[in-house]
Amino acid sequence: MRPISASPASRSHALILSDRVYRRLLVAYPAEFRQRYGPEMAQVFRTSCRASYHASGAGGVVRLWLPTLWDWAWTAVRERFSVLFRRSMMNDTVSFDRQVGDLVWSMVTGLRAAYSLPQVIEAISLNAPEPTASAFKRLHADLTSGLPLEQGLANLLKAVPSKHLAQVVAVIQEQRKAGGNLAELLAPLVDGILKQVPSDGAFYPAMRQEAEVLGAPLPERVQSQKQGE
Amino acid sequence: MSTDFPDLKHFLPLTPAAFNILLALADGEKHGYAIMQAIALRTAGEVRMGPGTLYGLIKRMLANGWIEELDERPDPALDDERRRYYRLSDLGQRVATAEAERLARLVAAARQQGLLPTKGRAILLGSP
Repeated sequence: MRPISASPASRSHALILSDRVYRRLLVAYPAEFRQRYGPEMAQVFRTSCRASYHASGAGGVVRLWLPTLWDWAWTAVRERFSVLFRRSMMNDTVSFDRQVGDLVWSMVTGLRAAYSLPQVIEAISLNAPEPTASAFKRLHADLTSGLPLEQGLANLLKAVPSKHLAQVVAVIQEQRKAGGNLAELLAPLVDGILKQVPSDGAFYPAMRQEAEVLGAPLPERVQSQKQGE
Repeated sequence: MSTDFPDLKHFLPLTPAAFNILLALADGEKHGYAIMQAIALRTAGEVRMGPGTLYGLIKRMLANGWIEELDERPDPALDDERRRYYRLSDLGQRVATAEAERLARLVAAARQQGLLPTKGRAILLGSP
């Protein structure tokens, strides 16, 4: 597409003022969104202003402003809400971290029992306690929609920015590149994670039925928890 | 446990704005302003998208893997190098096709119910 070339008209007061005001309005968007898309949005608006000016003069620019203001107000609010939603997910990350050790153990158990990774993900989405269940439901939905595993895991990490989950995702991605037995690559993570973040104890009761069906060995921490019941 | 891949129904129906962006990218990569122009042209000005709506959807489509940002930038002599170009991914193509099929089924149902002229009659009347 041929760019609309700058002309004397583009220097008109209406265009300069419009550009300046729109760039100021971008402050209403969340910082992350503004930094990534703000320059492009300003450029698109500037080009639209020039096109309107060429077609209809200053009146065209004024007419462009009406829908633009509505678009700005509505989308700035929406993007702000999206950040708030993500922050609430961050709070969930603390709860999620207290289930990661047990989560990895469940994955190891399922994989050792010859389930595929998508099947293990589905089982966790159906049986795990919250917030792990919701996070894995979304991952499962992404995968059944045809999203590649790498992209699904990236989305999961975006929703639940847990450094322990990031470790798990890194192992899965490495295994997909270099090969190897995923269960045995994940197993060494369990104790390390449980030592750093003690389990909230919610995972084992939720997954107990699945584990007993599989005849799966429980990690030491969970076994001692069970004996203490 | 099922492993039915892929199931695109999870994404459907698309909003008119999202479908229009995918349609605009169906014939090749475009930058933001070109996407807006293609949509305005295709819909005869009925759908006009502001920069906030456009880039909000671009952000979500990138996260969903429906579109990809091109790494290479245009030659500064030919275009503004600050512009970023986007293209449809394989998944985005499949999502757009699934939505088009869903809409085609709706149109067929409307035709069957007599809300639209039948195909033969439509041709005689010069309708598309």
